Amino acid sequence: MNRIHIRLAVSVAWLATIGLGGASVARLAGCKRANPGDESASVRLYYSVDEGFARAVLERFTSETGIKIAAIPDSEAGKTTGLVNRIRAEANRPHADVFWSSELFNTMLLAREGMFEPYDPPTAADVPARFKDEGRRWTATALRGRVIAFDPSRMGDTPIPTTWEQLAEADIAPHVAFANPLFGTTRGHVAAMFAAWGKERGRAFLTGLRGNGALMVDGNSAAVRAVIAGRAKIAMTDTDDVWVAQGSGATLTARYLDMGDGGTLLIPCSVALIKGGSNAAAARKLVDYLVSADVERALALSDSRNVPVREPLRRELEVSLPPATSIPFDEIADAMDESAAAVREILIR
Amino acid sequence: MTARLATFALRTIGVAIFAAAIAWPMIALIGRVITDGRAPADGLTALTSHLPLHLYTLGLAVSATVLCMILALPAAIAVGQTGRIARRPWVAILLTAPLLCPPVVYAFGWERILPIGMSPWLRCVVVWALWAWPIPALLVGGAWVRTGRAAYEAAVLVTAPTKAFIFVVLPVLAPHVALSGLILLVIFLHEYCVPHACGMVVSATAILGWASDSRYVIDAIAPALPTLFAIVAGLALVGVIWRRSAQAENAAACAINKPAAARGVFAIAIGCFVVSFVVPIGGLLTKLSGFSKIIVGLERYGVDILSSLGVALFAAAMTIALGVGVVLCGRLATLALAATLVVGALPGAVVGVALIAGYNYGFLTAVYDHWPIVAISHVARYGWVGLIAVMLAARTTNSELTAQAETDGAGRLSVLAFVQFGLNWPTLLCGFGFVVVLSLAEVSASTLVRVPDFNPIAQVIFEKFHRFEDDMLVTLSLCLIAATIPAAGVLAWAFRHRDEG
Repeated sequence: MNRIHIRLAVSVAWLATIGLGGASVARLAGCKRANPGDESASVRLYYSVDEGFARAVLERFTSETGIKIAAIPDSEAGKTTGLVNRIRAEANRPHADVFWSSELFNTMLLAREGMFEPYDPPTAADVPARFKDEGRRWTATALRGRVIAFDPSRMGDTPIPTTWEQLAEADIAPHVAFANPLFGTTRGHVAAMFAAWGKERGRAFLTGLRGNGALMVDGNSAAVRAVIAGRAKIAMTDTDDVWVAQGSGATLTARYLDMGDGGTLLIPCSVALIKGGSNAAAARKLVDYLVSADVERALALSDSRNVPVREPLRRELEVSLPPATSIPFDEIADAMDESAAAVREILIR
Repeated sequence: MTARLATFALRTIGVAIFAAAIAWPMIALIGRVITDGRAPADGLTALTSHLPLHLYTLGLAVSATVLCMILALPAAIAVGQTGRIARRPWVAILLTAPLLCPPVVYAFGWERILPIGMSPWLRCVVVWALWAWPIPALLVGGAWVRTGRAAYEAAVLVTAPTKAFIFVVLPVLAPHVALSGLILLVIFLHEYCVPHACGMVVSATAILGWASDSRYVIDAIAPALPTLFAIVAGLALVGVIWRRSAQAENAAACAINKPAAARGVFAIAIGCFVVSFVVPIGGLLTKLSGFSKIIVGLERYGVDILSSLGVALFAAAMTIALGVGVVLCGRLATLALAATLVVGALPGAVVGVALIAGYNYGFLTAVYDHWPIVAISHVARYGWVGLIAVMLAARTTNSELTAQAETDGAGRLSVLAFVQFGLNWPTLLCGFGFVVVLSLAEVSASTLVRVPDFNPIAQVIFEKFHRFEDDMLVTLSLCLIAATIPAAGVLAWAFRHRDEG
């Protein structure tokens, strides 16, 4: 072997060392988390609740039960919708056992598509019937409210709306920031508008937002950041985004607006057992845990400050239920496709 | 015999990587389009109805490219003044420092410094330009050293300096200017982090939305087509410019032997370094509420940082191996380069959709469920960077030297390894490092190919941004910067070592 080949061999060895070194780091680091290839891994979870909170809850579950969890969170880009589509794409070969969503309406759509296994968790016996599927394909807890966030000291002449519909009016819309309504809770919120107001008024609302210059951004927190940065005065968002922004020092106020029947939309988290998952027994234990009063209490005490659906828990924590709209969840889920199509047609261009 | 075996092995590795990251996902994607059935009207409507968004994004990317080229001028002059940048490794490090910052970190570094009321559009253009100017600076400055300077010095013997520059130097540098512009355009058109951090909706963010939202892959592919066509047109233009350009390759030797006129070079390099690295990263440092936070961040997200880094290193090694294998394939190299460039010109979301189509399938689910799919997604997106680095390394060598080696009986592999890569391996290292940085900041494809093994660090940083956890955002960003510091040392050593060689 001559010098050239020695040099070549050394170069290839270097490349292989770097590649395999990187792979080893990834492998070794990844091994600290359970994965489905491990015999010790038991349940695979897709979740879209706050990552920091979920991590603590799941660690507690593992330490209490010994069941390891391989978890895939949502991303800030795709939100819950990304995971929902992933579950659909994997329908023929399910990779996940449990879905823990930060909202309900996409869960309902998946349930209708037959993605979930009926299961009535005993720990959810005290959850009001409105927050459980009749077919027991999902259970909902821990509410977040749709609100507007604004800094009272920076509103100037801009009127503060009292109903959601007013946000699209010419004197308010130019000051409004809202998340892309194809994703997250904003998707459900716009669907609720279509369900409550009908197609024409729903489309008129979207047209008003666009025509009057409201600012569409990527996500609720981006809308809140737009208000903090002075690019908008009012953000359509969820309560938890306002609470965490307040916690970081922002001088924002949240206000519940009227959907037209005296209340705002309250959106619960939801848990469902995925049909065809590989470890149903352990998955059921995880579902039991996630819908338990303990986890709902923890969510209420977290930075998100979710409002419990269990009335005794609200009393215990001295939390009151915000004024809620009476639109049935089923009707909102029915309107999801229609409202999303309208959003694509009117806003996403 | 050994050389033949090695050539065969390297070709096979390159072809395998090409098949895994480029060919198979694209075949699967086309298969999914067909099996999905009739394309839904939404997807096709999006092709036309999204044109304003694409034009807006194109305007943004072109503006950033132009500003970037302007900002790169002083540094390009500095690179040209050094004669060979390898002679001044610390100048090289100072000039490439911004590229060592993943864009996600860089964006948040500037977020706290630029005025709050600044338009997001302008903010995005400025941040991109301040991050990416080393690319044109190094490419154009390097071309000036190799060919431009000799051509200029020959021309001024018979004509005025201005005329010499306009009619002789500019045509010689045009291919490198065009290539730099195209590289910047491709990066900016698909870069997700900076527009997202600026609160903007651009093609990359919208298409990721479509890919996440739709059940039909055509819904993600159709809106990506205008951007793809724009890039392919740019690529064709650059190809024409390259072909028309008469490269005076032997001028390289003349330029190398000339003494460097290095007055003020270090000052320019320091200036560039301060403005585009010290200011944003220093801005992050001042926001760090205490070093104990770093310990907390490492405890909580150390696994994610290490895993992201490991996968990025692995992916970068694969891109270089892909390039080497492809270059060894001779005429097929052009075809492979074209395919890799086309996949690289696709939005990350479409690449993610293709990988899901390709790997959520039969026995391949073993890949789909684990970190290799994330590495493959990086190779699919940034394989073109590795390929271009390898091709530049193979091309920018004195042709007399390679001809002599071939006359002496050296085979293609030997020439490549001993002469071309032997002289230009810092170029390979730069390509490798750039892929690592881009992979660390990758958000679009990795949004769709999430695995339970780890949470990509760019996703974690964005999550902290959205949760207003600024402390953790700053901490993780600084951890990533710290991880790239050894890379700077390696690069400096590589340049010095090469120069000594």
